[in-house]
Amino acid sequence: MMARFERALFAAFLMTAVAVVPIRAQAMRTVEYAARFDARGSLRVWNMAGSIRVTGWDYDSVIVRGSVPSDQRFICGGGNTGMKCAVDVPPRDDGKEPGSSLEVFVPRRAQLWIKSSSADIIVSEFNGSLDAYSVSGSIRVEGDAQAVALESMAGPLDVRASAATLRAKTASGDVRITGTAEDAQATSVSGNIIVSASRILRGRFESIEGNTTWLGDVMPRAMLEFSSHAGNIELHLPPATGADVSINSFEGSFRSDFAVAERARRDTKGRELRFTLPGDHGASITIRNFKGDVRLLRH
Amino acid sequence: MTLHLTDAELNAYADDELDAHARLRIEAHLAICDACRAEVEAIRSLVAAIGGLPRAIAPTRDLRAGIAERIARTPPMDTGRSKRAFRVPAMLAAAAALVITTASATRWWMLHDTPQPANSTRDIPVAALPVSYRADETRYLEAIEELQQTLERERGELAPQTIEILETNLAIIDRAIAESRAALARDPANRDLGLMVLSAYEQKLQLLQRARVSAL
Repeated sequence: MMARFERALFAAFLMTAVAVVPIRAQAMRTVEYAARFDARGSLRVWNMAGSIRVTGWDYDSVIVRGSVPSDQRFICGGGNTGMKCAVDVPPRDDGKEPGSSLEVFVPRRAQLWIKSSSADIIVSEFNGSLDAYSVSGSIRVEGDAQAVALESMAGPLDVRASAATLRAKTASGDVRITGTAEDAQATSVSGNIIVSASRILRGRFESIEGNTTWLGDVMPRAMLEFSSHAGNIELHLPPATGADVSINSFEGSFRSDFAVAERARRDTKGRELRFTLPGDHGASITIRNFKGDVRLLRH
Repeated sequence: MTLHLTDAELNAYADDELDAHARLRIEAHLAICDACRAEVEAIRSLVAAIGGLPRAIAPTRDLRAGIAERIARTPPMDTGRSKRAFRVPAMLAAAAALVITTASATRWWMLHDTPQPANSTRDIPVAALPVSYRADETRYLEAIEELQQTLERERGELAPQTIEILETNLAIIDRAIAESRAALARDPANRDLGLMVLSAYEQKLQLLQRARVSAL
């Protein structure tokens, strides 16, 4: 008797599930937009929640496709040189907008501008200039872009690209840079900055409370500047690194695997150090830290 | 033959991102160019269709440009002055700084009815900055105040999550400013400290700008 009851219960559950799933699936609709587009045209994309994936390609056209909740409008338009695509999200009482997933193909040397709130952004195989903003969504960039500018309030920024200029700014998200840049700047308030396996000619890395970690080579004649108020600054350097190093540490501790000759400062609690790492790189490394620790470590 | 406006110019004009001078220049061209006028109309139609969506990522206002070089050129400050000569301006500056900082901080926190965080700056004395930094500090304070007022007006457009992130990180920055500022007042010849104070102001300005972008 019980077995029959359980089977009936299971069947009822299955029927309910089968009935509910299509309703949820029907809440999304497929969208697609395609148009001719100049190789260096300007494309602006808005998608507040969900995901945005952009891929650069060698065709003179833009394709945007994806999945959008039925109650949201997908708008795309413009001309050969300027185009805007957006998902228009009606306000909801609970503030939780369902997400749209957009996949965008764009000429790889275009100018790309993306804005999201919680949507995750991934840009790959892109060689043009990128300007992306997110509140809490993650932003990841791959490829060889001309210029990359990323801003976030709390989302992690992950740059695995080569770029002539790179700017990554966040409040509490982490910044990770793995790539090459002639000129790189990363700033955070409480997020960590991690620069690994990078080739950077001019770099400025600033945080208020987040830790900064450098893992990798120092390019010949590179100029690197690290600054923090309360975050630790830790540089893992190859033993053969050559650089003029200047460290101003006010209240934090200092530790070095490299031999340094300390020059005492008068009237300050901290210490100022200037020394040369005797390799042949001729680089310059400047470190300022108010009360975080500074470490120079061999790797 | 008339050279047409670039796409960037057309978009910036349609999105109202230009300063007055650039706007005048564009409008002068639009007055004589039907094609560009049509382009602007097309962009505006699209923006209108998009409705309430944000129009632009506001350009970053970097007040720091040139400051580092100026500090490097400036000889160590105040060291040759007598304490008496420094006293009155220093007190005035301290008072001004106190008024500005307290006013903006108080307005921000009171209007938002948010409990002040445990690591607030209340326990850090407000000291006068060395004279070489006062002009730069004033510029930052004015820009920050302006942005905070704008954000207060647009508060309804900010998501609660954004407000929370903003307030948490503002408190961190304010603490850093107060600490490094106090240290600089004790050691006015220390240029690195000066750079750190201004760097913290720059971070605060940029954080407010980023928060504002989310409201656009």
